[in-house]
Order: sequence, then structure tokens, then C-alpha cells
Amino acid sequence: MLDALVNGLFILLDPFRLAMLFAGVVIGIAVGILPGLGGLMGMALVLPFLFGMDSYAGIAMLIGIAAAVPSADTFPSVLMGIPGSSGSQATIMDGYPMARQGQAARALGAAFSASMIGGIIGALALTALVPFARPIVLAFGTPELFMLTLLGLSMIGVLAGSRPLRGILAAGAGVLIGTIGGAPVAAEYRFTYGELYLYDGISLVILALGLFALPEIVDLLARGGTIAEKRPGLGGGWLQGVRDTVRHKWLVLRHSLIGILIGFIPGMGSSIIDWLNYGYVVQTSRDRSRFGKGDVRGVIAPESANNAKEGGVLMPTLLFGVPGSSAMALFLGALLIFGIQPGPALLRDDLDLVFVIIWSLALGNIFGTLLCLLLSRPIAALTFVPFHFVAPVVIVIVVLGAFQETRHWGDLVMLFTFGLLGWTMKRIGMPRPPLLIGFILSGLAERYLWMSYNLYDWDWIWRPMVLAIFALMVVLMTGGILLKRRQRREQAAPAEE
Amino acid sequence: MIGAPGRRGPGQRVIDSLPLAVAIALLAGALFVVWEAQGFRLGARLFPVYVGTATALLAAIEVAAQIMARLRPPATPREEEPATADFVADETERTPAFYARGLLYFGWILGLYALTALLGFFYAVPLWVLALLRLQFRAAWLPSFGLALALVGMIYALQVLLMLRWPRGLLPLPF
Repeated sequence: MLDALVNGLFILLDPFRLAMLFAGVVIGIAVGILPGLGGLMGMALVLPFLFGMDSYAGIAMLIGIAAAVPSADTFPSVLMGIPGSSGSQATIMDGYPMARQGQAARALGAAFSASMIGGIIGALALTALVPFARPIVLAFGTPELFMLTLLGLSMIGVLAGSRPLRGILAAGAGVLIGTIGGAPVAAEYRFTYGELYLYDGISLVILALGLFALPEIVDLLARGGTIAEKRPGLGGGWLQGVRDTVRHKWLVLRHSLIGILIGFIPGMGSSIIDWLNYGYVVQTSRDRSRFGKGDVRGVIAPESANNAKEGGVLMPTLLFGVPGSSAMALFLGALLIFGIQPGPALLRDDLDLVFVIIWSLALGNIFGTLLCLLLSRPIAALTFVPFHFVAPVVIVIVVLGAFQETRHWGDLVMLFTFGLLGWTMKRIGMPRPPLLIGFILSGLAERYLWMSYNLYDWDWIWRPMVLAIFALMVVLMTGGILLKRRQRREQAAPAEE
Repeated sequence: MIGAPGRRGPGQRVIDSLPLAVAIALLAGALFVVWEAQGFRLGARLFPVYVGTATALLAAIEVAAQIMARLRPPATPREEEPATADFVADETERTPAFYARGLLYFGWILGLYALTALLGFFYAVPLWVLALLRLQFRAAWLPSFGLALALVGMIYALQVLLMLRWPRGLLPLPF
């Protein structure tokens, strides 16, 4: 195995392959910065050019894209409060308030450094787990996957603050919106009323752009001025952000490992990983007073998990030919173009290639982070430009990005509708993330529940892993309540004295 | 003074009623889902019926809680926990004037859509940017023109480099 590890590095150090990796990183950063475009889009763009290319170079390029998008999508999330891709939604919660306080560079510095470390931990975990991965993947049946979706939904209670009912209601609305389109377990189209556009359901990208992008743009325009309210230069600068990451090294490690673990499970998208990690860091922190207002931990936790998960999603993709995410489905297609059959045999017959992928992931993360850090100062300066000059650019990009989903006018109608809905929700204090989480988990929950019931009747409830995940849910939820009580007692104690 | 007890204008009253209106809309929506799902096959029916029923029940509780709060407002304001779920609009953003400004900008976005439907996105963007910057923000001609041209260049480059497509208009213009 050590031979293959070294061979993999030398194969990748060929100048052409390294250049292709770097080109992939640049493309990944470009599509990551543009809201609505993600890794899937980036990979789809280069796929037609891969035919006839050296397989190692082509694969390095694709991995370069996959590695760079989770770092670059932080720019719009932090600077404008707009998710750059589905995996950077939770970063907005604290990254954007930091930018508004004039600490954009610090937030970006923390995000990029956490992303890089997370990405490298992901690559290391992939290396370490390759020999043991098979039994773990096989341990997750549909009942366990259903419980994981419930675990994601249980985070809503944590995220909804002092108005949990409104949060749960928003999640219910999200789940119901998720039922529009083809039913996952029956040959039936629901709530489509003959509209062809609705047959595939509502697009996650459009829902996310509508809920988060348009309301922020409109509010910033209505407020007037610039995105950042204070102007102490660019705040503490990106070095301060890097120092924050180093100071919270255990947080980075913990959330990287969570990212890998969840990424390892096929179908658990980057949005789920993102929100789950954000909910977890809020839940487990003693001082939660700054979350949602610009706490750097709220940037570090989801960002480290976000990049680390790429190592996780590669495991089922390479080991079983089961794509760990939609972008990995495309990557799988690219492997087949090169005549490579993913699966357990890959480990036996072409271990060098597995390590080329792992090295590409590690180096792609380093290149991506360095490039993003280099760009962070000039791009963070955008927060001090009068927003009426920035808004037209962002609106045009958002509209254009939304239209790429199906290239149908319905995309634009949906974008506007969800924009108005998100704006109204923000105004009345109904949290928007639960709606998004409910929407994401809707199809998965329905599919897994139905399959579990069909396969095991209700006996699936007693499976050990199901019980273990249920116990984890209970611990997280009751732990949160106990922490809240303790915090209140501690706050009350000095007042009584 | 906006928001002062007993001196709320009609705009402020509409804003104050918005949470209740949204809760009622959610209740109606969830009940509609349950009713509509009755016509689906079993496999397609169960999930929306269960989730719709649960959502309707919770929405009914929220509606009741809001009505109770209106009838009997608490003597002391409830202590709010730190919001970690979403950005919270501050008090200065809960005024009729702010809502009106917000709706105005949604109107501008609809304006972009209308221009796009007529001319296509490629031609609509520079016209819309010029109109927004000049008419709404009274920006100088030079930066307005510069931004409009830069955006035309950007969307053209995106089409060439990333093969993105944009909506066409009713008028048969090139691009």
C-alpha cells in the first residue's frame, strides 16, 4: 500500500497532470463564486473535453473542481449572504454577519484555512479507511438512512431558537414543498396540475437562491449604503481568520470527522452535512450568544466539514460504484469514460489510481485554499462598494444561475416566488433554514421510510444502528435543553448576587 | 411615532398581522395538501397525508397562540433566546417605509423579468441596469454605462466559456 501511495504522488507530479489539477481548481473557484453553480455544473462543463485525455490528468482535473468548489462558494456566502452552492448555506449564518461588521477577510481567512485542513483530513481519512470501508458502508441499510434523515430534521429544534414551533412549521412546509413532482415510491405525479415544469419537482438551487439571495439583496438595497456597516479596514484580516482556525483546532478536527462520516453515506448531500454541522456546533457550545451574529465557530465548523466530506463521498463512489453525491455521479461517469470500473476490484487492481485521486484531493484543497486566500482581500473589498452598484451584478448572476436549472421560465417564476416567501419569513421571524432542510430531506425520508417498511415491516425500528442513531438524536436534543438551562442558571446567578 | 401603543397606522397594523396571516396560510396549505392527497395511490398518498396533518395541527396551534397573544399580551416581554436559525430583521426594518422600499425592489426585479420577456435577457440587462441606477439611485452616467456594458460583457463571456443560456424575448432579436 505504501508503494501505491508513493507511486500515486509521482504519477500526479507529472507537469501536465499537475497543470490539469490546477486548471480544475481554477474552474472550481469560478463556478463556486457564481451563486447557483456548483461542483456538478463545473464537472459537467469539462466532461466533454475529457475524451481522449490522459486518464490521470482528466481525473485530477475533476477532483480539482470537486476540491475547490466547497472553498470558493464561501465568497458569496460570506460577502453577500447568498449561498454560493448548496454546501455553503450554513456558512451564511455567521460569515455574513461578520462581513457586515467589517470582518469579511477574517471570516474568509477562517473559512479557507478550515476548509483546507478539513480537505486534507478528508484525504487522510480516505487513505486510512480504504482497507476497512466495506463493512461500514454495508452496515447502513435503508432504516439507518431514514434515521439519519430524522437526525437532520431533529437539528431544526436546535436551530429554531426561542420559537421552535415556527421552525418546525417552516420545516413542515419544506417537506410538503418537497413532495411536489414525481412520487419516489409510486407511479404518480403530485401537485403538478399538468405543468410539465413541476414534474421533476422544485429545484433545490432555485429554492435556496430564492429563500436566501433575493431577500438579502432586497434588504441591502432597502437599507442603502454598503454591505459592511463598519469600516475598520477589512477587519482583523485573513491572518486573524487563520489564527481563529488554529485556536479552534479541535473544532476543525471534530467537524471534519463528522463531515467525512456523513459524506460516507450515499445520498447525504452537502446541504445536510452543512446544516447538521452548524446545528451541532451551536448545540454543543457553552456560549451561544454570538451564533447568528458573527461567531467565527459558526464559519469554521460547517466549512471544515464541507471540504472533509469530499473524502467521505469518494469512499462509496470508488469502493462500490455508488455515487456519494450528485457531483460524484458525474465523476463516476467520467471514470467509466476512461474505462475504469469503480468497485472493490479497483482497490485490488489499480491502487495507484486510488492514490492519485487521494493526492489530487489533498493538493486540490491546498491549491484552492491558497488561491482563495490570495483573492480574499480584493474580493472582500467589494463589501465596501455602495450596494446599488453591486446589486445589479448579483441579481443578474442569480437570475442567470437560476435559469440554468431547466432553462424554463418556470425557474424565474419560482425564484421570484421563493424570494418573496423568504423575505416575508425573514420579516416575521420565521427561520428559513428549517424550510430548506425539510425540503432537502423530504424525498429521502419518504423513500427510506417506504423501503424500510416494505423490507422489514415495523421490525426495522429494533435494528441496533437504528436504535443507536435514535439515542444520538435524544442525546443531542436533551443535551441542548440541559445546556440551555445551565446557561440560564449561570446567567441568573450573578444577577441574584 | 411608529409602533407606539395606540397610535399604529394602517401600514403598521398590516405588518403586525403578517405572522398571523402566514400561519393561517400555512394551515390552509397543509389542509389543502391532505385533502388533495386523498386522490393519490397509496404509495404516493401516505407521506403527504402524514406530514400535512402534522403541519396542519402545528399551524393550528401557532394560529391559536398568536390569537391568544393578541387578546392577552404578556405583562413583561418574553426573553428571546439568541437567534441561531436565521438573520433577524431589527426593529428599524419593521416599519411600513422599509416594507415599501423592499417591495419596490421586488418590483424592479419584476421589471427585469418584463424586459427579458420582451427583448430577451441579453438586451434587457443593460437597459434595466441603466434604468435602475439612473432612475432609482440617481447614479452618474459614467459608472451606470460602465456597469451596464461590463454586465453585457460578462453574460456574453459566460455564454461562450461556460455555455450558459439565457431567456429569449418575444421580439426576434439576435442573441
